Amino acid sequence: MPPSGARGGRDRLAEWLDRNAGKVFILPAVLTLLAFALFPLLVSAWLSLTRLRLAAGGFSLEYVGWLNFKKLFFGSQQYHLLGTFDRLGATDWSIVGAVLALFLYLFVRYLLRPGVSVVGVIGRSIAFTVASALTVLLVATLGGGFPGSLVVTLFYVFAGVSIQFGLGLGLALLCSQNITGRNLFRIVFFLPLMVTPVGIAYMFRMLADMHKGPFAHLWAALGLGEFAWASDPWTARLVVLIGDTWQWTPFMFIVLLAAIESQPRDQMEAARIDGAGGWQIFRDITWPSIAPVAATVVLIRLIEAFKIIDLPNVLTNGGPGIATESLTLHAFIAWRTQDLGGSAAVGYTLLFVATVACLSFFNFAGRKARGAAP
Amino acid sequence: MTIPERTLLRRLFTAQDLTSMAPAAKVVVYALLLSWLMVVLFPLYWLFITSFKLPVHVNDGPDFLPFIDFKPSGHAWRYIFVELGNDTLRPYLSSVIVASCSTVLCVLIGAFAAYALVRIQYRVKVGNVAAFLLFLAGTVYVIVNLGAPWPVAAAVASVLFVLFATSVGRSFQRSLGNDDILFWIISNRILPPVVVVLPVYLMFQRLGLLDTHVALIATYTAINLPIVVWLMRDFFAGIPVDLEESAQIDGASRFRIFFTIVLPLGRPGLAATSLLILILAWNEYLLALFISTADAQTMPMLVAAQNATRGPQWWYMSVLIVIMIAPIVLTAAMLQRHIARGLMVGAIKG
Amino acid sequence: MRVRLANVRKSFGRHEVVRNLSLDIADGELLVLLGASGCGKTTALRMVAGLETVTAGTIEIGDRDVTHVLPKYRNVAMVFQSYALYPHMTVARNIGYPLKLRGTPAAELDAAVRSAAAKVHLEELLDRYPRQLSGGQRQRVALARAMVRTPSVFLMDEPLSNLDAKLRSAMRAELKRLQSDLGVTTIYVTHDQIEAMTLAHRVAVMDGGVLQQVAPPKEIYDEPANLLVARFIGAPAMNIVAGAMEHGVFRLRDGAVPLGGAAPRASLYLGFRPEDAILAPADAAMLRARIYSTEMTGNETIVTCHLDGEPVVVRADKDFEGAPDSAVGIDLDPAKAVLFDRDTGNRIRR
Ligand SMILES: Nc1ncnc2c1ncn2[C@@H]1O[C@H](COP(=O)(O)OP(=O)(O)O)[C@@H](O)[C@H]1O
Ligand SMILES: [Mg+2]
Repeated sequence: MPPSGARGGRDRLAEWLDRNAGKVFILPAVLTLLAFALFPLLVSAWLSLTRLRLAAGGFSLEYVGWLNFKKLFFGSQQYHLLGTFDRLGATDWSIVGAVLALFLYLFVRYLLRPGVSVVGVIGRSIAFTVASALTVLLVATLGGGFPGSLVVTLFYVFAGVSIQFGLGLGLALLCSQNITGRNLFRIVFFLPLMVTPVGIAYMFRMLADMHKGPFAHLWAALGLGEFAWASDPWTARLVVLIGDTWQWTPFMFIVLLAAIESQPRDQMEAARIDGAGGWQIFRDITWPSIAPVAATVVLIRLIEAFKIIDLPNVLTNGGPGIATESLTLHAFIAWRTQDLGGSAAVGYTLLFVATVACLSFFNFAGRKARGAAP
Repeated sequence: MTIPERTLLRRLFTAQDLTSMAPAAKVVVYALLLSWLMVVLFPLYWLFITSFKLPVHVNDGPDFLPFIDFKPSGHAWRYIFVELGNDTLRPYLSSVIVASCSTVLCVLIGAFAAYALVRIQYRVKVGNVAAFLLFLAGTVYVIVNLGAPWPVAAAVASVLFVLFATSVGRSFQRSLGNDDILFWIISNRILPPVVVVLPVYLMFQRLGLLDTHVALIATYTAINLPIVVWLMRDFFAGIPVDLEESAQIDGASRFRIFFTIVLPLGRPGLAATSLLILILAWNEYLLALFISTADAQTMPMLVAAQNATRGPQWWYMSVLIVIMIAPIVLTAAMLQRHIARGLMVGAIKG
Repeated sequence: MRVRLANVRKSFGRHEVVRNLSLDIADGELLVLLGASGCGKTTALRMVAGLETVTAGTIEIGDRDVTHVLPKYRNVAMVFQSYALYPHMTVARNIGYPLKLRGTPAAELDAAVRSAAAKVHLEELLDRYPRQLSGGQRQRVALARAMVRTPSVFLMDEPLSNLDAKLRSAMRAELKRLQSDLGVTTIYVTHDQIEAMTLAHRVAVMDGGVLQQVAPPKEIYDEPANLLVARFIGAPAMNIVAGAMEHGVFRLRDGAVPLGGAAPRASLYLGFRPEDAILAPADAAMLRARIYSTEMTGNETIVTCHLDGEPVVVRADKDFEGAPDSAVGIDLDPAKAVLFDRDTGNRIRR
């Protein structure tokens, strides 16, 4: 073997690459994310503090401080982001009070626990504050007022994810039974995931058409032939929600089914021999073994659900009024009207809420589910 | 007389043995599964038959069965493919190029990072990360506010940071490990595209890349990267390290090992991940809306734009949606065997 | 080629796994690293391979200092306990992989693979995948892959431990023959003393990360350097009883052994092998003990007695019969008995 100094340049390059493989492997990903995530994040933080001015041959930006946020939260755009408030009645106050008391209780209980950490206290303070503020917002707008894009987004996210999870889990449990045709179900149930959301939006517009859709006779028979779902806020939101559920239930289904099928068979058989019923088996064996996967799949959906735009944009164009507008759609509309700063501010609001929600879920539910796993 | 009836009833509701279900339960299970099957298939069926309907068939109220309720016609297909011709094919080609290129690139870069995070120990000084963020913020400020030319500012900042990291940065004590890097990478997925799209738009404008395939490919690669890293990491962690060490001793470089041992063994995961990324890239709408306007227009934009022209013409729209679904279904069919397992392994340790 | 380890240390964090290991292995020698599981054998071997960095000390292969050389440039071949066969490659491709990495021309590679396969009788199985092979066949593939090129050193980490007893002894003989035919320096790690005794030119016994003794098998067996080695080697192990030397006699509570030439000294241990003692009538023997149990193995009877309350094992004739708890005498060959210092555990030369 020749001494190392005599090796050729190619070999030396190869050895250098090999020794620095760590950097070479991870740099492409890190640089991509720096360029397309971190850098834009900083720029748009700054954009959210400016106003766009059209100027000769381009545009100029003017620093305006917190004006964009002030406008969204307290000023002329408040109705759009937060909604129109109703005066809080006695029931409203008692709901708010109960939720606040619950958060306070959880917070105090955490403080009394051994092993309290600074990060834990800060995290919980933020999570509980945001959740309390959102509770007030929900109560104030859903009761008698009119919800803005923030509340509508939360509706899509929480209603959507819970329904999809419930349906997905139910279907996965059914499909994991000892039945013939399991593979057929599995393949067909996967289909909606492959359809473009824009396409789904049109498809559901077509299906929900009161006169030309497949259920026209049904609507007519029910006396609903002249009902326009697109002009009623709640039916419009419901149609969006149905489209979203149609698309994303398969995702939950596929992953949960795989989790159920990979749980230890002998445990289940032992339980059955011991005389456990279906519900007991689910509660004591299936659920603990799929909880970590369930937590992950809900987290993934939670992250994605906050970004919803295609469906409301195409299905209802955000209407009637702003009734079906999600935060992303709101930001897009602001951008289209040349309100660059306002758009960035809406985006940042979305980022903040989504981050708090996802991290809270990850820390409070995700960790627990993983800990519970054998 | 009542006794046989009771036994019949009981037989209906009790299982014959441990592995099978009671007949009644079986009926309920099938009924529920079949009804969801209808929920899934009916919209797609309606879409499909609508693409063969004449406007008159659509407008006269619902017709359900081709050849019986209405006579199928290929007029919509002809219109989309022959009369519109290039106006359909160009976005379609755009979509194919953008989705496939970004999928390959994204899976490759992501798999690189995922593998590295499994097998190589990283220590990143907290002080250097903080310094980097400060430098970045400073650079952004200088570029946007003081109007400095961006290549110069970026170069100067990079040099300054490297100098800093190699001198002062060395003395920092606390460092971040692989889990922290992984968490950072995955958490980028929380970032709503609408937050980053404005600066990305400006960036591509400065670079003169707006409305090009390159811009879309780069953006899609970036936004889907966290998912690839998330899913692929678990696949790679499942490969016995002995294999790689053996190859190392036999004379393979890290890169050789990655391409000849790790990637082939991670193929099921690779297939599932690629399919998922392909679906996401193929169907992406919002970013395309911002970044591409005419030349690099993709299919979702073409579909979405249908509404604007002459009101919803369901027959044309159905054709477009059907031809959008087709390639994905075909790809999925080819990769189907791996899908369920793939998503599972990625999900289980998240 | 000759291999030298000089004062090699390895720590994982604060945990020191290999302490000050120095070994000098001659060209063509087969050295067995023997020790209980967890004593640091694998770690030592992996440092020679370059898979583990060295905390302190130097490693030389031939005349080259390879302490900081990457594994691929050390020209060593390693057989892993798990065999580390590439599951996605056929037997032929597995064996040829090291040559392929070196860019060997196809024809030459093919010939080399065939001849390596022939040495371990695998010619028939070249087109199979590892999953289609039995444990013994996989083992042979791993060997063939190590032998296909001419490495400076063979490194083997418990290569036979996954085989059943019968196959193991057959492979042992084959391995020994192959090694002497090829004449390649070999470091062989095992926790099985039979393997060590039968294979080794020299055995290096490790305990708790510390090298205890390096010597040919016979010397290790007859003249263990200390109590640790004495207790580890031999099945059943050497008997150790406490006592003191007085006037040329090793005295313990229930008897005395005349050991001419040993200096008088308190607190000693006397060691003797089960086959160096014989059972005799209780009243005339050197040592008086009680039978605890007898086990007939077929060709002999292993008798466990209690002497001074400690178990002592003696090999007796296969027809030996003795009731439990009956008194028995033990006579031993003074020339083969060894003395150990009770404080240091080291053997005392007589
Ligand atoms: N990568 C590692 N990190 C930390 N400790 C390790 C590592 N590898 C081995 N060890 C520890 O070093 C000791 C020796 O291990 P090893 O060399 O594998 O023992 P042997 O092969 O003799 O059974 C064990 O206690 C083991 O737990
Ligand atoms: Mg070992």
